[in-house]
Amino acid sequence: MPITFFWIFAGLMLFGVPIVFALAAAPLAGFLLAEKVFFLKMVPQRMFGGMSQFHIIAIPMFILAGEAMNTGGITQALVRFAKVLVGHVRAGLAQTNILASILFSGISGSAVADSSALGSILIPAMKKEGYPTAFSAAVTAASSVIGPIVPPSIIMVVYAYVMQVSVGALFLAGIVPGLLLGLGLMLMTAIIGHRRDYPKSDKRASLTEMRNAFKSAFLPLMTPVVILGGIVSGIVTPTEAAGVAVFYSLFIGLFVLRTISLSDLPRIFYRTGLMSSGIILMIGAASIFAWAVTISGVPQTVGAAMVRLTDDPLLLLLMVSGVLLIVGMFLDAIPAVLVLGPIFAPPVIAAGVDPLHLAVVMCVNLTIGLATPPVGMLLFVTSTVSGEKIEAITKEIWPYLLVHLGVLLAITLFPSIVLTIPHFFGFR
Amino acid sequence: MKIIGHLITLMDRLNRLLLGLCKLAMIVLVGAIATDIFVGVFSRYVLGSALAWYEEVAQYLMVWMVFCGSPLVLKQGGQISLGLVVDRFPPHARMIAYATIYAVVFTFLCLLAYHGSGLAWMAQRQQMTSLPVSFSVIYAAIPFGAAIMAAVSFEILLRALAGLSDPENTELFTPDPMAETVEAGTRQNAPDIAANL
Repeated sequence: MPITFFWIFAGLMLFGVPIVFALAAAPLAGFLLAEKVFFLKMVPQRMFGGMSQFHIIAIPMFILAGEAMNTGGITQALVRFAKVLVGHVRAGLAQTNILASILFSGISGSAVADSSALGSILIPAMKKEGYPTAFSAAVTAASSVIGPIVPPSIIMVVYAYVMQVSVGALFLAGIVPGLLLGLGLMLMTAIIGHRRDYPKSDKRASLTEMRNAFKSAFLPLMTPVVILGGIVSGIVTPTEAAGVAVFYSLFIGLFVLRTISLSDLPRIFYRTGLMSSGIILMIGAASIFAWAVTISGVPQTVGAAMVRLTDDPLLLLLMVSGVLLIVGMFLDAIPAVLVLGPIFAPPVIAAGVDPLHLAVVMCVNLTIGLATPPVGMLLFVTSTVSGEKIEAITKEIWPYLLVHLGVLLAITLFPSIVLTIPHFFGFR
Repeated sequence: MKIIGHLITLMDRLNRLLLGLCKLAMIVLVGAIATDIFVGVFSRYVLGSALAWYEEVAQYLMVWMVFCGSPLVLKQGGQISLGLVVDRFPPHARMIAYATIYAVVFTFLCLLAYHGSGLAWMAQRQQMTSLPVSFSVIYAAIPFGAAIMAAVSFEILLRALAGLSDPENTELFTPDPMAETVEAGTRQNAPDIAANL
C-alpha cells in the first residue's frame, strides 16, 4: 500500500482534526484510495485489539490513584512538606514548587495533572509573595516535566506496551533522569533568584514544623515505594501494582486522613474516566494507524534511509532525538510515542542502542515537548491556571528549557545514568 | 438557517439524554474496574487462589468504559487537536474549517459504527474464555460509542454552521463543571492554603 495515508494524516492533523480521529481516519482513506475496501471491515477489530489489553488498565488505575490523592488534600501536604525543607532559601517558593513536583511525581504519572494540581496552589502563593506571574507559571510548567519521568508514568506504560519493553525496567530507569531534571531546575532557579533578588521566607521552619509536615506527607510519599516494590520484586504485574496504588490512596483518603468522603467518589471516577478515555481511545486509533504503517512498509523505508546516513548508534540516537524534539514541539507526547516509536525504534536498536536507553531518551524527549512553544500542553494548562498569556510564560521558560535539553543530552551521551538502576535490579 | 436552529435543538436534547447515560455508565465502570482489580489481587495474593476471569473482565469493562467516556470527551472538546492553523483564521473561515473538520469526524464515526455493528453481529457465537458471555456484548461497545460520538459530532457540525451566520454564537463545545470539581475543591480554598504556607 502506498504511504498516501501518512500525508493524509499529517494534513488532517495540521488542519485541526482531533489527533485521535486523524490517526484512525487516515488509514481508512488510504485503504479506500488503494481500493482495499475489504480492510475497512477489519478496522473495528484492530481498534478493539489495540485497546483491550491488561497492561493498559494500568493507565486508568494510575490516574485514579493520582486523582484520589489530589482530592484528599495530599497535594497541600506535599507542598507544605517541600516548603519547610526549602522555603527559607533565596526564591524559596520557586524552589518549593520544584521540590513539590519531584515529590508529586512519585504519585502522579501525568505532567498535565501535576501542573494543574500544583499550579492551582503554588501560582497564587508565588504571586502573593511578589513573583511575576509569568515566572511562577513557567517554573510550574518546567518542573511538571518531572512528573512522567519519575515513576509511575503513563507515557512509559504506553511506550512499554507499544514497544514491548518491561514497565518495571522503564520505571526504574526513569528515577535518575527525573532527579537530575529536578536538580538542574533548582540550580537554574537559584541563579535566577539571586539575579532578580526574589524573596525568601524570613525564618527557617522549626523542627516541630518539619516533623508535622513530614507526618502528613509520609503515607503519600510511600506510594512510589509500594508501586515499585511490587513490580520490581516481581510479585505483581504493573497493572496490579497500579490497582494496589488505587486501593492504598483511597484507603488513606477515606480512613486514615479522612479527607475524602464517599460522596467524592463519583467525581473522582468521572475525572478518571474522562482522562483515561482520551488516552485509551488514542491507543485504539493508533493501532489502526500502526497496522497501516506495517502494511505500507514505512519502517523499512525510514530505517534504510537512516542507516544510509550513518550506522553509528550514537549519531542515530542523536538524529532521532533531534527529530523528536521538533515533532514534540507540535505533537502531544502520547500520540508521538504511538506513531513514531514503531518507525524510529527498530533501526536504532538494530544499530546497537540499548532498547531501554532509547525508551528513556524518547520518553524524556517527548515529555520536554509538552513544555515547549508553540504547542505545549503544560504552557496551556499553566496559562489557564495563572491567567497569564502563553507568550509571556514562554519568555520566562527559556532558561528552564536549556536545563531540560542539557539533561536530555547527558542521558543520551551517558547510557549508564539511565541503565545503572535497572541493571542493579536485574533487568537486562 | 431556521432549520439548522431546529436541528440543533433536537440534537441537543437527544445528546443530553445519551451523554447522561454515558456519564452514569462510565462512572460505574471506573468503579467496577477498580473493584475487579482489587478483588483479583486480593484473591491471588491474600487468599492464594487466582481468579480465572478477573483480567479478562477488567479488559472488557475498560473497552466499554472508553466508549462511554469518549462521547463525553468529544462533547467537552477534550480530544487533543492542533489549533495552530485554524485558530489563526478569521472568525468566518474558522467556522467553515470547524464544520469541515467535524464533517470528516462524523463520516469516520459513521463508518466505525457501521463496521463495528457488523463485527458485533458476526461474533454472536464467540464466547469469552473465562465466562459464558458472548463477544457480541463486548464488541457492541464500538458501535454504541461510535454512534453516540457521531451524534455529538453532528451537533458540533451544526453549531459551526449556525456560527457562520451568527458571530455572537460560536461556542461549539460544552464543558462540564463536574469535570473540574475535584481540582476546584483545591482551588476554592487555594488562597487560604497560600496564606498558610
